[in-house]
Amino acid sequence: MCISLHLTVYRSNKCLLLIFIIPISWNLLIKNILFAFGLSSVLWLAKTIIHLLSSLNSSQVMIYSSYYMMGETFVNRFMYMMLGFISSMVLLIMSSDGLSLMLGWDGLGITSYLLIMFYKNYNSSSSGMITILSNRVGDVLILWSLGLMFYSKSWDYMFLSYFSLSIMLLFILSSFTKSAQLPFSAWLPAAMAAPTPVSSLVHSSTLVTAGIYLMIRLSPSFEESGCFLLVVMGALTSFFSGLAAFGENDLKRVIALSTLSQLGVMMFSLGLGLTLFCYFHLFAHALFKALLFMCSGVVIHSLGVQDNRRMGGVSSMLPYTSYIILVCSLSLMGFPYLSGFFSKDLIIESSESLCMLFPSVLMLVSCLLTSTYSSRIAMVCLCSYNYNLSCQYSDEEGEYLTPLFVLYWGAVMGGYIFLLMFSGGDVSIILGPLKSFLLLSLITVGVILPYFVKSFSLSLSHYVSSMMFLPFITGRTSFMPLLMGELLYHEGDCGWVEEAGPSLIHHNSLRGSSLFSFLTSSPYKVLILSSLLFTLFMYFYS
Amino acid sequence: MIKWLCLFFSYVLMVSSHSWLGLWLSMEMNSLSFVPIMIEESKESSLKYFLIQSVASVIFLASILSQSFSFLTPFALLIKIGAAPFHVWLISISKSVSWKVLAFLMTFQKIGPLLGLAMIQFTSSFFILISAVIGGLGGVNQSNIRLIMAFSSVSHLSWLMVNMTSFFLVSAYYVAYVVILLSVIALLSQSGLLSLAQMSDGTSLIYSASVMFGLLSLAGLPPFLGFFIKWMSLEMNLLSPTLILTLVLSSCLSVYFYFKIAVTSLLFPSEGGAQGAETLAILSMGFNVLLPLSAL
Repeated sequence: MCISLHLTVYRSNKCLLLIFIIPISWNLLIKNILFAFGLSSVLWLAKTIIHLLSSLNSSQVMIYSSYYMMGETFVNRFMYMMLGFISSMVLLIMSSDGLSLMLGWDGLGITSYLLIMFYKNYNSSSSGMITILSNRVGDVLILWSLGLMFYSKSWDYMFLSYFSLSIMLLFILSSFTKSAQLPFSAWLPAAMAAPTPVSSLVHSSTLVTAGIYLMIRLSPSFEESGCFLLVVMGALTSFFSGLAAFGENDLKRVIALSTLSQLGVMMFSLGLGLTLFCYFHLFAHALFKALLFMCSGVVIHSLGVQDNRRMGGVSSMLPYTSYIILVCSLSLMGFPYLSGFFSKDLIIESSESLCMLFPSVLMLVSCLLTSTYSSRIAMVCLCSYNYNLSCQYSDEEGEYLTPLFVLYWGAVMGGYIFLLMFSGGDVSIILGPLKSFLLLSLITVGVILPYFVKSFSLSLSHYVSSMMFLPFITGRTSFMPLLMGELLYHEGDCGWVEEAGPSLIHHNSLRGSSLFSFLTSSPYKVLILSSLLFTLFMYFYS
Repeated sequence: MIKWLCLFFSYVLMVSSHSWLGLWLSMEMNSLSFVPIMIEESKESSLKYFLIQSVASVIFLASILSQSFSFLTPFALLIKIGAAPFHVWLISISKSVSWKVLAFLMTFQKIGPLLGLAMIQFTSSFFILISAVIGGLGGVNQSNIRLIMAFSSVSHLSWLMVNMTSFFLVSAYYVAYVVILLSVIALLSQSGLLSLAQMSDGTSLIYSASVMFGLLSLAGLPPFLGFFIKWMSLEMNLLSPTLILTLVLSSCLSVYFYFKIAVTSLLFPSEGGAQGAETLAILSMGFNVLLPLSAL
């Protein structure tokens, strides 16, 4: 086990990244140093592995973004915001109590908002607004739970005592907002207005897994009994986002919704008490999802369009990239022995015995849908001819080749390595004769399905792709509160609160100060007056 | 040359005097040898300084020699040091002297009176309160940077007077205050700026940053050096709540006028500016920032 420290050296448009891997013997030293700074070493191994993962992803995305953001005027700003995001994530990972968690959580929210709003148009602005407001709900819930934790006399997770149920509920709801589970999932597809490096780092492996990570940290409290809310919400999210991705045409949105689907799988497994499997799925998913986003970014840049219907023939133009898209899609579907297979298969097979019928059926249908839309992407991008005559053409060169290569090995081998580390290579789950081929059969059906369902009628596609009209609902219900909020701001914060607080203090201190300056100014009678006042004051005081 | 020699000799005499008479003698010598230094800059200020200091010396001599006037000792020393309500001379002198003289005035000229006050362990909450209030409020409406520094010296005097009960605390606070103040004044005098409006004319970034560090250190913001001495004063002394509240609030007010200087110089940086201030800037930052961090 090792800690990876990485230095990002940013020089004038090139982003060089050096990963230093510190050997095992230094692990204890660094643990003790960090302990002196107040970061405890509870669950050090878990934290280290996630840190390693996010460092790997961040480093590769930074290299990739030097390719993607080439030619932008504000590249410096982008790089610094990404660095801010990465440091917030590290803070969140390494935090052992609710207070530093709050700092990392808020940092993630703010930096992801700024990164989404990078391109200057109304689309980005409104998407960023949806993101920050949804994340803000989660922030408020965590603040509330911090207030409740105050009564346990410690903000450390280990000491939850009297209000445990409500604290846990608040944490669960806030991780729902961060990980975009069902009531709060309107922001994730909208956040695709961000540049692709942002999507690949933020919306695939780090930001949205922050909520899952929090749940994993708190999982001992519901590991034995399971949590029905998590099971149901995870299954529903997984199903509905899969359905939405089935009818979606935008390449990045499909990948975002597939992320959402996998997040649902993670929540589902947490709700069943399978913490290690959820951690495993988090690990494996982060490895190939960032890669998938990066490849989609390459495709978008090389074709100039983002819509599925205008793409095609990418495999002859970018063979390397299209191969990696294929591998990632297969891994996402759960193709045997690739990275995504182990975790997904373990979760699905364990869920047969552990929960009621409905959530596990939803999970199976979402696996089917995953393979459907993944193969649809692969087919549409890679195979067919491109009928769009006005598209661009590009060769396969650029700095993105290195990150693709590095993460490719992670996507292929990562699952197996994790399995080796944690269980010595053999995990056995006993199922009936038919059910052990469940995942494989779903994948097969899913791959074949797009050949039969090539086009939708318009109304069906509208229903399917809007995720049960969720954005519409959340948009309309927040109208009145926002109106009241504007009134409160205008009359209160800019009105009498300002006059009674800051403005009042400012004016009065200026008046007092000018009084004192007057009393110390040069005219003789003023000096006599002030000395008289002071003597009187002293006489009456003492 | 001789005046500097006399001045430094008076400091030596101050710290090595065993009696009140020796202290008085050295303080007289101090003020008399400081007058020729000031007279090059401004005759009126030197006259004011001389008159105030000699009146204070007379009161001091009378109080140490006679028993019935002995209650006047702290008042005399407070007049010499420029504490409120006797701060008026300091304000009016600061307007018209140069930075060098002001530096001496605010730092080393206070050694003698502070020694005297520490001997009698003078902590009257009236003077602390009123110095804090006047020092805090007085600088708010100013635009002359020297006046701001003068009011800051008045407010720091209140903090100094808080821990007069222990000689170690007084000397610790005083030494740290001298270090910070000299680093700030060294930087401010490099660029020859007179008023707040001129701070935005363009100074180099490292200069503005180190000025800001020094001023925030004076204001008492963590993690700078100034914070730790104020924290020490609050923790190591038994203070009533009104005293604590007034001291902290006056610190807040002084943050306002320090920030005015720092922010106006930071918002308009330029690449040029005082080039020779590079080493000085780094040195001052070292004192203000790295020194407390090394203690951790």
